[in-house]
Amino acid sequence: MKNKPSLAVNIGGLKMNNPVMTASGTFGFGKEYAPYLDLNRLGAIVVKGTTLKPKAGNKVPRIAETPAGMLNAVGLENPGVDYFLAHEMPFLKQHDVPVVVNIAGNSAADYAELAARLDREEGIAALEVNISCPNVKQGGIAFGTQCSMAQDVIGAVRKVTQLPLIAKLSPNVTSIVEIAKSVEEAGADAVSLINTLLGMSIDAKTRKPRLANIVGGLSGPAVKPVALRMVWQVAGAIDIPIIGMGGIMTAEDAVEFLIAGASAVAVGTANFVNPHATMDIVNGIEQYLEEEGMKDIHELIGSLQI
Amino acid sequence: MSQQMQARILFNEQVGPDVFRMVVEAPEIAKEVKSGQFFHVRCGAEYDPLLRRPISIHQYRSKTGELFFLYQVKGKGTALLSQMRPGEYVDLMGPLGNGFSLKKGNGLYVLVGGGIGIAPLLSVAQDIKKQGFEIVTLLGAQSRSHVYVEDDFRLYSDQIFIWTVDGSSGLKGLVTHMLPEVIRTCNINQILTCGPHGMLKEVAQQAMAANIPCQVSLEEKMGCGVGACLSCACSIKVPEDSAFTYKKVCVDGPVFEAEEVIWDEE
Ligand SMILES: Cc1cc2nc3c(=O)[nH]c(=O)nc-3n(C[C@H](O)[C@H](O)[C@H](O)COP(=O)(O)OP(=O)(O)OC[C@H]3O[C@@H](n4cnc5c(N)ncnc54)[C@H](O)[C@@H]3O)c2cc1C
Ligand SMILES: Cc1cc2nc3c(=O)[nH]c(=O)nc-3n(C[C@H](O)[C@H](O)[C@H](O)COP(=O)(O)O)c2cc1C
Ligand code: FES
Repeated sequence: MKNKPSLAVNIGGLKMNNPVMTASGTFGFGKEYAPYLDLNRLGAIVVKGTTLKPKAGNKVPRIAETPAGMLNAVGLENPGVDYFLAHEMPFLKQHDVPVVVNIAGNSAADYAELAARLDREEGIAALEVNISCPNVKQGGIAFGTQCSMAQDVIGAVRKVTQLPLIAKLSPNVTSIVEIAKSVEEAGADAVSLINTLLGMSIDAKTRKPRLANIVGGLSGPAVKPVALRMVWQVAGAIDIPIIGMGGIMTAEDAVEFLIAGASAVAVGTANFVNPHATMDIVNGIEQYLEEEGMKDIHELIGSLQI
Repeated sequence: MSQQMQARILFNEQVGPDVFRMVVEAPEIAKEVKSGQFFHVRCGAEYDPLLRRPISIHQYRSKTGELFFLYQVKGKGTALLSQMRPGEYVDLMGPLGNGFSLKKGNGLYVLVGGGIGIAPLLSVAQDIKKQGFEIVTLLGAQSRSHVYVEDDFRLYSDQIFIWTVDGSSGLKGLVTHMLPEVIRTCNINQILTCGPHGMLKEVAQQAMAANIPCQVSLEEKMGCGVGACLSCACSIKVPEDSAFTYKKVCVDGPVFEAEEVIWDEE
């Protein structure tokens, strides 16, 4: 019998049996997809963005479909960290899969308070810090668009937690490489990219925007080339591992991100189209390694031939 | 439990200028579906359109394992669906959502459907008839050619009234014009309704004013269909200390009690 190739990866202390994670906000709290796949076979579950207090979110319509993609402006609706810990975490704890909590806030202090709260809880494998949300104090500029602000947030969270710390980067910046370098310096253990690309859709007949929020984040296959480019550029500039995402629908898409330099991948919009996309991708990566005669996924990571 | 499956298409026939009825074979699923639930349907194998489309259960036959859908061609997704041929397979996720629940009583049931919103009501009509209750059906459409599957409704309804906006079939005007009279003259267990938002609001307000239980089936744009993406929010009355402002049409609905819904917010 031939040995199966090893798919295990370690993302800045977050140990996973395979490199396939779920993208925050697209997989709820895990239970929603439990009828369709074995959650234990995921590399990790990244839950919906969580804030200190419950957040109502935006008015509808919150989504609009675009060619090979979708725009969303959910507005970070979530029941707050206390509800999450009391009502969603127990289900996740029954499973044998690392749970990554995605956090968001309005100030560096918010992020730190939230991180400190989660740091005390059992069963959380890592924190993913969404620094792409608007900062109320700074007049609505997203943290992730300025190096100093990104550093403030990651630095503040780093002080209060030993958990593996993943900085989730926004693509809506002049240089994602500079942001990546500054969060590495501030103590992030890994980066994940990309969050959604800011976009817009208009109904020509009614001359109205298709989203109540007017603008929203683009995801799905349409953003893949941008995401791949960013992963490749960031991989050349930092030493901490990268979780690549943006339009991954198939194992081949995931393999491309790994080749570009990502050590793991996250699957978002694809879950809506194919509820067991993540499982197909895990199986497909394994098959790819076998076909290429690779014994370990690390032979593939960053193997771009130029 | 909800599942994803490839269901074989038995029929996909046109029943109106822009309306089709699809019948698929899904023996295990047809046994556990509830009227008012829906399926999230993949309309093509490519990335455009990307997302699935929610389509209600129009009828189900547990014995033969058949599921019926009645759908109107609106855009890319439903146009692709209308081109599928018998013998091909359609990718379904479901059944999803809560479905209607019939309130017991010694009176009758009133069904109010508008446009393609009549789709899920036929299945409800079957359920009610199976339990031996009387049904008054009110169907509204733009014009004669937009009155679909009327005969099917006649089969289960004790009384049926068709209303068209232009008067080309049945009575002229909006279907809700007739509701006050029905409410006044009948002993009603419950009103069940599906259709355009304005119609639902009108039906809900009349029912609430008369203290008659009323369930409405709401629509919202959907991403996942399973409660994971929070695309399909609808405003619902909640206790002040609740962690939630909205409910999700896909898992908390699509059927809601009329008094739960905040109707005034637009
Ligand atoms: C729970 C539920 C059950 C439904 N059941 C049925 C049914 O039994 N039969 C039927 O014909 N239709 C039903 N619909 C509506 C149906 O889902 C939409 O008409 C369909 O998604 C349109 O897709 P499209 O690609 O053809 O059009 P698109 O090009 O996507 O859109 C065309 C028009 O349809 C509207 N639309 C798109 N998606 C939705 C949506 N999810 N809900 C409402 N409007 C939408 C758009 O705003 C646009 O005006 C249901 C919707 C919901 C939420
Ligand atoms: C409906 C929806 C909600 C999302 N919510 C969040 C969120 O709460 N926090 C976050 O960091 N990213 C969020 N994202 C971004 C995704 O995690 C991911 O970065 C992005 O969608 C790109 O991947 P994809 O093309 O595979 O979907 C959301 C995306 C979608 C489509
Ligand atoms: S459609 Fe995703 S939560 Fe309802």
